[in-house]
Amino acid sequence: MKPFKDLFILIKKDILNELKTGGVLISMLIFSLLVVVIFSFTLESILSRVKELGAVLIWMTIIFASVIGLNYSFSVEKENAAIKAVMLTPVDRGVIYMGKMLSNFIFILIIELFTVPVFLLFSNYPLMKVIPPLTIILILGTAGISSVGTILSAISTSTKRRDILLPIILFPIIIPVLIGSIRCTEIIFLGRSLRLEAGNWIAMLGAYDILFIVVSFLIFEFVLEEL
Amino acid sequence: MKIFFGIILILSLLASIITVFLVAPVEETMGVVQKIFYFHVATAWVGFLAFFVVFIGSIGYLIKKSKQWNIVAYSSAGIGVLFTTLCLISGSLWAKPAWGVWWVWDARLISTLVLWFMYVAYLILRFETEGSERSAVFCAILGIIGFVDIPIVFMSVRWWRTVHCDLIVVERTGLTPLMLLALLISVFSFTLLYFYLLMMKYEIEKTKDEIASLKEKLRE
Repeated sequence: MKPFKDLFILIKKDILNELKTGGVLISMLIFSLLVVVIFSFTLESILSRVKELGAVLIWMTIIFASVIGLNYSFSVEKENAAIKAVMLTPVDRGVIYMGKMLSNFIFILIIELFTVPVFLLFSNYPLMKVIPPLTIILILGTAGISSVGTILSAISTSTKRRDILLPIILFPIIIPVLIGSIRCTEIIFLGRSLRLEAGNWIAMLGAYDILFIVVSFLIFEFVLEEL
Repeated sequence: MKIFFGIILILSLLASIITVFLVAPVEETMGVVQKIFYFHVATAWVGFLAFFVVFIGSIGYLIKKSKQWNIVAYSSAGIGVLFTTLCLISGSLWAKPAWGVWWVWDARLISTLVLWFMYVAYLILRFETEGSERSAVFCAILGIIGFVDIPIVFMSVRWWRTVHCDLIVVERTGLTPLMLLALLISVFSFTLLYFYLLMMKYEIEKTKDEIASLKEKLRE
């Protein structure tokens, strides 16, 4: 069970690091709350009529907040060459990827935990009805974003203009995740059944997550050597 | 060898122009505008082929770690973006008379646009990392992830919406044997053009690389 123990330690390291320095999570949170608030009050009259528009707004907020977090996740490792220290430990390279991926996943989920209910409250969605199915979609979508996002942020961090490069290389790749999640969220907001109408979308999101976690797991060591 | 290839290329491009404009009949409903179709399909095909070569080159580089694979992938990406751009433009020109608008948010159009963005991003990454060892590895990673993503993009966008006339539907609504011939010849000649451009670009990039390493030696 060594890989799992390693994985746990790696995630714990990222969380401890975040708690001790405390910068990025709070910034991501305030940023996404700001975006959500601006969306909610500027689009108030439209949102009250076109409920499904909220799906696009939620996912755009998530994606922008994710880019901030992802950009940070490897730049902090590169300071003082911390990643080299991680590489020196007897841990499989794929496990390092999984650790980073899962901590990014957790961070983005924490942001969603605050942002999404705030948005739902502001725009008067039926909370109790919407939240349970939405949780599934948020988890699937966030897994997709962090699976590709982690490996691509490792790449973009090593370039000169890293802050702008990540969204450019990440957004085209995660378009399937975006449109899948948005469609599912629309169905939820319209009050229809996810099971009846979004079966294929959920399958697609799940397949995307698994596929890109496996692909990234396999090729991550090449990136790690160049960091 | 190169001149021989060049002559065949010119001949086949001429043949395709002749078959498209003189041999293939004018389409009934769309008229002469439909001639764009032959080049539009050919550019789309070359785009996909080029991105597939990027994928192969990227895998090859990660396994063998030899510069040639990297140069092939890079050269092919540039040509792929060029032909995808041409495909988007020719499609747009055809869409105006055929559908009445320059652009529709149809599955195949969105997929092609996403593909274009993906490989433009690849070229930007290449530009941002140029000159460093990392460049080849990073671009190979993006080349692999991007290509693996293409089928999912296509599938998901197709579920999102579809207006584009399927090739099969076109056949049913009357792609005459002569039209098919013109299409095949133009696809074939564009494929030759692709390989010719790839060969040229490969040589240029290889020379650039050699010059860079010579400069490095001089400095030492």
